[in-house]
Order: sequence, then C-alpha cells, then structure tokens
Amino acid sequence: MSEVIRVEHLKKYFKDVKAVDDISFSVERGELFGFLGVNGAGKSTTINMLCTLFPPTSGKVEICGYELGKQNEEIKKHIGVVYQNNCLDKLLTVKENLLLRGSLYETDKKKLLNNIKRVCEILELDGVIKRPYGKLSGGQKRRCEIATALLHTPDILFLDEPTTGLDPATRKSVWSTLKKLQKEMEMTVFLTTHYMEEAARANHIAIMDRGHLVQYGTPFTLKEQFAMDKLLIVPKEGEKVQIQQLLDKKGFTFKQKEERLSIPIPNTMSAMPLLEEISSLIEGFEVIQGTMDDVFLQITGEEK
Amino acid sequence: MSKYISLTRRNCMVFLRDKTAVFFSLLSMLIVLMLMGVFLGNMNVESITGLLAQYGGERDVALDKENATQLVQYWTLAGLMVVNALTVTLSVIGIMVTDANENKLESFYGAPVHRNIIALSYISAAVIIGMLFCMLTLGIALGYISATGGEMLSAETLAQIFGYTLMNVCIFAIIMYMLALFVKSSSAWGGIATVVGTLVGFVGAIYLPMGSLPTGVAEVLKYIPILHGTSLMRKVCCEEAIQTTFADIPQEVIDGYQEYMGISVIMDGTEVQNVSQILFLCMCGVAAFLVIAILTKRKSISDR
Repeated sequence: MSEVIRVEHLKKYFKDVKAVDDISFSVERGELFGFLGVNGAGKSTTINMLCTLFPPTSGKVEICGYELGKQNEEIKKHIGVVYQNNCLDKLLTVKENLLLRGSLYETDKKKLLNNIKRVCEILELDGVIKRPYGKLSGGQKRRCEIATALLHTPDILFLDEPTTGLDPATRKSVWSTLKKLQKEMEMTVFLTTHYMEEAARANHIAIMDRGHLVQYGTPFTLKEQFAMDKLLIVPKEGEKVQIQQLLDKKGFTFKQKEERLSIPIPNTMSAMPLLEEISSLIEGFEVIQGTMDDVFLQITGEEK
Repeated sequence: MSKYISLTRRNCMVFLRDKTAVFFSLLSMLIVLMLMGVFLGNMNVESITGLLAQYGGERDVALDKENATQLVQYWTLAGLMVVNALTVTLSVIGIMVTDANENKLESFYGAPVHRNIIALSYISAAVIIGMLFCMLTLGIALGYISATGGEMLSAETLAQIFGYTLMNVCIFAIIMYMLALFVKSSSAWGGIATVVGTLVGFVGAIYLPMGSLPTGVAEVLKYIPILHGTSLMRKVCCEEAIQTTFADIPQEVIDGYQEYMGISVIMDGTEVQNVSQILFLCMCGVAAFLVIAILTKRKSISDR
C-alpha cells in the first residue's frame, strides 16, 4: 500500500504555546487512521493544518503527492473535511446546503445533482433532504455534514471528532457508514476521537499528548503493549489473608478494592491455573480484558 | 465565478430566511417613519409654510401646505434611502461575523475557493440585499406619495437616485466589512448595530435638520460620509419639489432653507459641490477597502 499522507517534523507554535511540537507519521491509502489524544493535545490543530486552514510553523507535509503550502488548492480538491462543530446553515434546507457546498467543488450542475443523489443514498438522507437543516436531529445533522464532505468523492476524508455528543445508537450508525465508505469507496479515513472503543476499529492509531506524538501502532499491538488484563476475585469470608499470602508466594502483584482483589495478569488464559488453585477460597471471579481506555490512560499518564 | 455566485446566493438566502434579522435591519427606517408621521413631519412642513408666509407676500396657503408636505415627504424619503443603505448592509455583513463565530468560515476556507472570493461574496450579498430593500422602500414611498396626490419624479431623477443608492450601498458595505474585521463576536456586532441604528438618524441629520443641531456637532457631521450621502440624495429627491414649493421666493431664502435642512452642505462658506461629495464618499470607500486589504494580508500571514 502506498502512503497517502506523510508528515515530517510538523510544528505549530502559537506565540508561546507549542500546540504541535515536532510530529511525524504517515497514513496508508485506504486505511482508517485514528488520531487520539486528550482535549487540548493538538489533534484539531494538526487536522486543521493538514486541511490547509493555516500553515505550519515548520515541517513538511505531503498529501496525495501534493506538498502542503505549495499546492494547497490541489490538496483541497482531494480531501473532504468534517469539522468538529456543525457548519451547515440552519435556515436552509439540506438540499440547499448540499448544493452550495458542492458547487464550491463541482461547477457542472448536472454532475453535482448526481453526486448529491449518490451521497444521499449512501448516507440515507433521502427522507430529510427537503427539510431545513436546523430542524434535524443530532445524528441526521452529522450525517449531512459527512455528506457535504463526500460530495466531490475525496481521496481522504478527515473527521474531527465525528461522533462527539451523539447517542450510542447514532454513533454506531455513523461508524458503520464510515466503515462502509472506507471499504466500498476505498477512501482513506483520518479521524480524531476520544472514544477509545471507537479507536479500536482503526487500522492504525496515533496518540498525541501535549503536542507530541507519543505512540503509533495498530490497536492490537498497542493493547498488547500497554493494556494488562485483570483478574478480579471475591474471597470467601476469612480467607482473604490466605489468598494474599498465596499470591505473594507466586509473585503476583495485587490491589485491594473493597471486598475484591484485583490482579494484573499477562493474558486472560493465565488466570486459569491460578483460579484452579484458589477455587476453594473464593466466592466468585471476573476476568477483564485490557481495553483501549487502559492503553490511552497508560500512555497519556492520566491515571495516577 | 460560479463559486462566487453560489456563495453570494447563500449569504443572501441566509439573511432573507432570518425574518427577525430582516425586521431589525429595517427598524431604523421604521423609527424614522414613525417620528416623521407623529410630529417631525408637521414641524418640518410648518417651517416651510412659515418661510413662505414671511417672504412670499400674498399666497395660496392651502397649496403651499400641500407643496410643503410633498417636499418634506421627498426629503424624508432621501433620508430613508441612506438609512437603509447603512443598516441593511450592516445586518447582512453580520452574517460574516456569525460565520466566523460558529467556525463556518473555516469550512469555506477548507474548500478550493480563494479567500478573497469569500470576502467579496459577503460584500456582494450586502450590496444586493441593500439595493433590494432600498428599491422596495423607494417603490412603496413613490406609490404612497403619488397616491396621496403628490407629483411623480422624472425618469432622469429616478435614474440618479438609483445611481446614488448603488454608490451608497457599495461604500457602506465595504465600510461595514472593514468594521466586521475588528469584531470578534456576534453580540459585539449586535452592539454596533444598535449604536449605528440609533446614531444614523442624527449623523445623517434625518431626525433633526442640520440647522437645529448645535454648530459644533454640525461641523463634525460634515466630515462623516453619511451626511454627504444623504445630502446628495436629498438634492436629487427634493429638487423638483423645491422648485414648485419655493416659486417666486428669493434665492437666498431657498439657499438658507437648503442648508438648514441638510440638503446642501456648506463648508468654509461655500457650498460643497456634488462632485466633491461623490469623491469624498468614494475616498472613504477606497480607504476602507485598503484597510481590508492590509488586514486580510496581515491576517493570512499570522493566521488568526
């Protein structure tokens, strides 16, 4: 697979704030790339720079083979952007909004109308196309925003927190749309989010913290590296001390959480032999797989 | 080009769909109309009939009053044309402030459209809507005046009114756009709208004739473009009515009246010629345009 975005030593300083401080990464064609970080880590700044909204302080960026800063107009034609906040006009109908946004890319009216038809089919907007944008529900609005970004069939779709503030069902539907787009249209999807379970569906993820890129990898490798599985056990009355001694002897560390003991284990299977040994001493147990949340908290050091 | 047209159309639609914005942009005009209808109109008519009685010898009082009423109506109309040119463009440019506030501007900047075209589309929308409302006002006013037995204006005069209105609207739109570049929030723009809406009646010497303002204030007004805009408009609108009303009256009295009512503007003892007034207005427009050009350039270098 070829690289569709290459970022080298990208920096953005605002007066004394180093919003983005020397980051490098690349995105492959057709992949779903997750860009994570806490609020204020520099995700939006990075995405805005990639979308040509403002120039970097220094660094080199290549998008679809065009160089950022020199061929911005070409880049703009090849990318679609869904911004963090809704940008369409509330008082205009969905169709009017789509026509306007589309006309900024496509000057042939007939082609434009075809594009609108196609996009509405993909995003299931046919039912709401004649309604004023402002009257739609949050999920419908979001789908319209994505539709506008797709009108000119971009090579790369940038989404800045596309699912923030949506209910779980809507979030799911937005995600299945994104997956569909990526598969069927072979589109590269670059998105930022702070829902970790969403990030787990990406092909690659990069995690930013305070302007720096701190981790890059597939969700799987990052989980392997940073998320520990956990075994929770509830000891029978009076058996707690005995279990603790046993764990100490076997070299397990553990934390006490009220009635339960939490034991980090390398993988879920390794809970089996331990459980067999202590089965007579416990009332119940729970094995918890490491999540992306753990990865994220571990990396950004928010868990103290 | 088609991108520019779509953007302009969008700005117009966004403004026209917002019924309250339309209403408030016309509020100053309604206030002027109310004031004139309630008492200022009568006062102005009486000051004319007083002059006529004093200098005209034996006269047909009823006819004088009719002529004077018509003159005051045209005088008021001239004022309205300028008030609207100012307040309507101000409201339309407000769309840009809102767009900047809601980060919609970024979504336009992200599309392959030159930023100057986007700026131009706001100014053009202000000009189009400004002209639309001015012409509507003119049409309704002429309809009212001729329905109440007044004399119609000649085609030549109407053409001149159209030309001056276009000039006023263009210049005010540019000045308003310049102001908008300094404003960061919609509420601040609302504040400006309130101030301008209140002051325009005084600054253009529409609520009170020039002659009844304190000398100091009147002198300051002569350096503000609005007064010259109204003056030009009044000269055209009132010319025919003045000739009928002040038939057989000494020229000095007419000149005095014209100065008193802000129809002609006297600076340094001589009447300011039309050409000078037009030049002054255009210079204000050009100055504002230069400020816009410099600010936009500086903005694009230091971005945001």
